[in-house]
Amino acid sequence: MSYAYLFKYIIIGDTGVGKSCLLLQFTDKRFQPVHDLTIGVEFGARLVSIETKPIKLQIWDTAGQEAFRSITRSYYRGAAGALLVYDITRRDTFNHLTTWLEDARQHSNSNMVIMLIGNKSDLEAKREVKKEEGEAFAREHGLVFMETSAKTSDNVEEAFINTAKEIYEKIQEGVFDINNEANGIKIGPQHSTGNSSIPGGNNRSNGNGCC
Amino acid sequence: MSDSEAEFESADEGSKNEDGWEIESDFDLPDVKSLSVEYKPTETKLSALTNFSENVDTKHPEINDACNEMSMVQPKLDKLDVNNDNNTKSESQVSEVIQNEIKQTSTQTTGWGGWSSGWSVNSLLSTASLLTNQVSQGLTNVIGAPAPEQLASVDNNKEVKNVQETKVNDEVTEEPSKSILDTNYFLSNVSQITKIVETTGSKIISGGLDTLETVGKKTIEVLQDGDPGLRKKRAMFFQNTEKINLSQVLQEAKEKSEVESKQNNQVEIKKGYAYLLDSFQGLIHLESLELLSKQCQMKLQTVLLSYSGTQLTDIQDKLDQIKDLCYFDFDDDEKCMSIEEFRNSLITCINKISTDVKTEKILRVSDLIDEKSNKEFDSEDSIHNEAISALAELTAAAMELFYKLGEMIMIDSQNQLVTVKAEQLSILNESVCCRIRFIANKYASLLTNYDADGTSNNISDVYLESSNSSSYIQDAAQLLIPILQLSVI
Repeated sequence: MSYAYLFKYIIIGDTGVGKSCLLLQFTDKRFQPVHDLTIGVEFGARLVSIETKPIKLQIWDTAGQEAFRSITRSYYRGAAGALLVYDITRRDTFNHLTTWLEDARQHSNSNMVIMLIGNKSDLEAKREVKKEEGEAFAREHGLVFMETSAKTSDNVEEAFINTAKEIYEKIQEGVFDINNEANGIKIGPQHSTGNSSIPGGNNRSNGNGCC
Repeated sequence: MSDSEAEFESADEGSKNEDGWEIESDFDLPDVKSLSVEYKPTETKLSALTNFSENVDTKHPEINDACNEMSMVQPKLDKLDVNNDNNTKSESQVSEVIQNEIKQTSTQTTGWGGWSSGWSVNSLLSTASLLTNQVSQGLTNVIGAPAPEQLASVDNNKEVKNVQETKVNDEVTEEPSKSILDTNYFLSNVSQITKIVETTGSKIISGGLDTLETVGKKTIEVLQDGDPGLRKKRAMFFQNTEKINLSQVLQEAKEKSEVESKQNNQVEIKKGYAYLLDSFQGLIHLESLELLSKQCQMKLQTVLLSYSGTQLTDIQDKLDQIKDLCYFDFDDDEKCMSIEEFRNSLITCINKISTDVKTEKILRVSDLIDEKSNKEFDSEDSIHNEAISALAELTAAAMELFYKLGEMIMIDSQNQLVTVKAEQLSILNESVCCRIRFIANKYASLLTNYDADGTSNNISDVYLESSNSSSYIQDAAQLLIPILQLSVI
């Protein structure tokens, strides 16, 4: 219920790659094979623990349909993490990654952690995109890579939590300014007043000074 | 658009109607105490002036205005001695004193301190005019406004008239000036000084006014540079004047209640309405709807700017028509909606607005609330908590519904049905509010069984949150208007 930080995530990628299913698996631990097309954006939230700190992930699952593109772009702003999803059984969804990435980089802050996800890893027989290709793309563009299955829940938890870890590390390193909400990070309500446990430039010095 | 224009115009008119004194005397007086110690002559004159302001001739509105301005200063100077009898003073003298006063005080406030009481009025004036020169020179350098003297000399007629007036008034001037400046040793030169004061003063003031005018013109020029008709700026201005985001207010309320419950060291955080609304994701959907609405509002502004004349009025009529269709006055209505009525009304409305928006969620919430309200409650508090939770959950579901409708309206291309959509939206809005009222009534009657004498606040609390819910729903419906309007263009 109470959290140290809140991270805003966005999930992006072509329509039908399994964005909403990933969210449902992560928040509700269930799989729904038939899903309505997402209108605009769906929201999900879950509390995770990173280095014993409770962190609330607020996830914005965007519509993949082209018609919503112009609207969904405005949701990129103020996200700390992004899950860029493609379908390993559909080559075209992999080919569109560059466009998605450009879009995300252009409309969000430069420090946003992007996780590349090749979904539907349970459908090995229908695979069109090799795992190595995904890895190569991620390496080339400085992303973290993972293959998941929203159906079997394989790697789903890891995908969300590893992204959170990466963001948390960036906070520790002082890359993210946690006081600027445009970075997609909010400090939990109970930590908002001069708590020395909060890392990050300003607060740290204040905390040490007063205690 | 029309709002922002009106604001711009009224601001323009306002500055035109001012007579100049407003600008001249629009400074903060420094601390009255320090003033009274350092500037003895000023005090005397000012007190004389304030005394005189009651008796001044009404034929000269400018001076009257000035006196009014000065009498506003009076309360700040109430510690000063008022012992001059000035009933015989002439108008030119009053204007002299005012000009003198203004210059002196403004010079003081700008930090040109250290003037001793022994300085003559002459040197005071010359320094003041020097200062004005410097300022206007600076202005000339920066924005190309001509010096006040230059501007003043253009206005020759005015000046000659002023000088003549001074001459006429010379005789009268001499006597009363003694009473004002009796601590000064320049008595013999008073009439001469008056003349100088009058001409220099009018020069500076008319020059100053001209400079200000030029400054204003230049400013408008700069503002309009690359932005004819200030269109972009007006659009921007319009954006800024919008009310604070509702979701933001709610967010703050929620955080505040969280902090408060933390302070009370309660083991369980008390689940207030705002907190529940957020946890049911009402807040975030409202936030997204606001985002969407704002985007449409901005696009609407841009589109409207490309039209003019009758085309523009036609479009504005259309937009107003949509707005009117969306409007409904909930306060006039005591209608409630049972679960079945609500279901039917909702499905009809949504199908007419957009078939892609799913009604399952809000209907499920509505059913669940009905189910819960029929169970047995063991305490008054549990009824109260259930009521608040029900209201928050239904409101949150409504927020989500309105947001999804907004998204669908935005990408829908069947523009000819916009008026139908607007009508249905109004009905939908009413239905949800009626359902909210029904729930509130139901829980209130349950609470009455426990609290027949009405000593607890629970019932009024439930009604309070139900009216909150209604306002959030109506606000959300309002946010859909620009989206509908944009789809008609």
